Amino acid sequence: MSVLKPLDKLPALNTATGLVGVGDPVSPGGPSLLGCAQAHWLRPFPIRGARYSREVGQSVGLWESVVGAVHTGQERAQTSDPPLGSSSRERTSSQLSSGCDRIPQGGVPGAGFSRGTALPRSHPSTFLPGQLVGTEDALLQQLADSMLKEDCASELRVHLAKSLPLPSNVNRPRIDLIVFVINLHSKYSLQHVQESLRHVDASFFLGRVCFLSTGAGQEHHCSIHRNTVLKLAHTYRSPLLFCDLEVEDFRATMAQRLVRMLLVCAGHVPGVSALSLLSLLRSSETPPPEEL
Amino acid sequence: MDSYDASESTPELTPRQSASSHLKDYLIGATPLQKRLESVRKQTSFVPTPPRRKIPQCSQLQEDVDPHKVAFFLHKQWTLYSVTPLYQFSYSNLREYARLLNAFIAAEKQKGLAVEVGEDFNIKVIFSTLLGMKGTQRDPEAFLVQILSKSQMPSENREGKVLWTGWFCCIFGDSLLETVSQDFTCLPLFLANGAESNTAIIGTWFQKTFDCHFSPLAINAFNLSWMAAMWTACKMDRYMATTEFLWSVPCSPQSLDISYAIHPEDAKALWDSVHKTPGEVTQEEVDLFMDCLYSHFHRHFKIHLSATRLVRVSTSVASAHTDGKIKVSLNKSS
Repeated sequence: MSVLKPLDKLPALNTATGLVGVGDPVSPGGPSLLGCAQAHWLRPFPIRGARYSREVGQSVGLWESVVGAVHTGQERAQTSDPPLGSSSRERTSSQLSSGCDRIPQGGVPGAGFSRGTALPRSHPSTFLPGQLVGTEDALLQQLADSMLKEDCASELRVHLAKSLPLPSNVNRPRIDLIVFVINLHSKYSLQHVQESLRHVDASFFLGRVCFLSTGAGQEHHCSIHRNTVLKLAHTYRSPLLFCDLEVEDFRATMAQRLVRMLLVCAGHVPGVSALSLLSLLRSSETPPPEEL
Repeated sequence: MDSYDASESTPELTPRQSASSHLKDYLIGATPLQKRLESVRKQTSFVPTPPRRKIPQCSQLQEDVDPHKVAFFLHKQWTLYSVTPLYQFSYSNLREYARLLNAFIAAEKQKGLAVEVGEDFNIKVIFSTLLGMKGTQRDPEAFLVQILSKSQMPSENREGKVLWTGWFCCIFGDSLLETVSQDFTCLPLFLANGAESNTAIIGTWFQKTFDCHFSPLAINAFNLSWMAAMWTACKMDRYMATTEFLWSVPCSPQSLDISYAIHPEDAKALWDSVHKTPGEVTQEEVDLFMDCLYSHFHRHFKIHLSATRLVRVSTSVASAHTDGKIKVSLNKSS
């Protein structure tokens, strides 16, 4: 139903799409507590470049600020359909091979570096303590900004989402990489990520999923132990990156790294595929999974 | 001072067994730095570990300790500092140290105050060992530093009022002790109670004399939740105070504090329903305990406490603040 599957659509030429920043924000507030400001609802994400992507125009109605919403962990728990379908696996692998044929090797698109960003949102929020959530979402926005600043030969799209599943009625391009951002200062973000993980198709975990944990620099604010996140990443066989997203330089470096991973996952780097990258990353870090 | 790391039962490869003969000679004469690198490598070689388990043991503390000696510790707020190992510290020179520290404090105070002349700076510094304040036999003995005000009249009792107290201790410091070399005494925890200026002066003296470094010890939210769970687990006859938690909501412009008070018996009942194996506390139990509190709060107030930061925990047994302040309120008998 609302399960994300990779390569649902045929890949567009020179487009690499990444989904960034799931499971971060925080909204512990009731309407009476912090005076929700309706004005904060629609805060459009800044669009760069002259060309607006089609999706942005269409999804204006669904735009709520990243600052939006809440919990709904309970709601999502009810829609727990198994994300794995064996039939979809064959389909995606065949699309993968067809996709590779169509991607030109290192070509520069005629239109130049135009980038667009879109902001799909999953659930409309009922109340919003705008101020509160600001810090977390600011990190995601800044990270997305840094990623978009990177020069690369392909058109980059970064979607921000608070949680999965994404609404299925929106036309969106294929997603190449999902980055789950966990804030070590907040258990809430970890819970959100764990719930969102259930809505991701298993074929994504072959190199198209990455975990990014932030906030390890301020040890005295941490409420999640590092081993918890390590174990999560190990369970899902995906790489785990640590970055203090609040520091400008680290964020820029991490953005470069994510863009590079995104290009690999989209198949724009000749000779490297998402799966080979995953095996490269895995062999240097963790012991073989049989030990767990 | 990590009891949790010590109780991890991971199979460890001793480097000697896997080394060739000439390497073996190299390793036997390994310097402390090499030993430390080896121990760090052992710890990180099995990286995604199962949930951490802490085992509350019946420690040395309860057998050797003299109740009167421990009385100084109770009902006072202690500020925690982390100390690097002390170089060439000797337990037999305590009187000498007291004398030197006394002179140093007098000199410091004289530097600052030009106005108060003629005072004898009637303070007295005492160093004493605290027997029994340690976790295992290997831990070095704790020692106590006190600044007393000398009474003006010699006819009154000699012991004046205690102005400042500080003590150094090492409890379950096995992981640290194995990498510390001979000349160093490892007493990584320093607790101070009293005027901040005195703490600064005494800290400076220790840093100069023993080439160590003091840094304030902050307790993060993760450890505070463990403390809350373990203190709630203590069986008490009578509960003197409610169990209270304080969260700080990280928002700008104004920061909010959320305070949540529970009747201590309810907290204990909740813990008992969560706790499974006796003698052992696991990460899942602590998480479940805290999650129950969070979901109860959320049901009533629609606020996700898990997104906020735990700042203070206060139970009948003890209380702790994230800035590194603790207070032990009640002496648990037995």
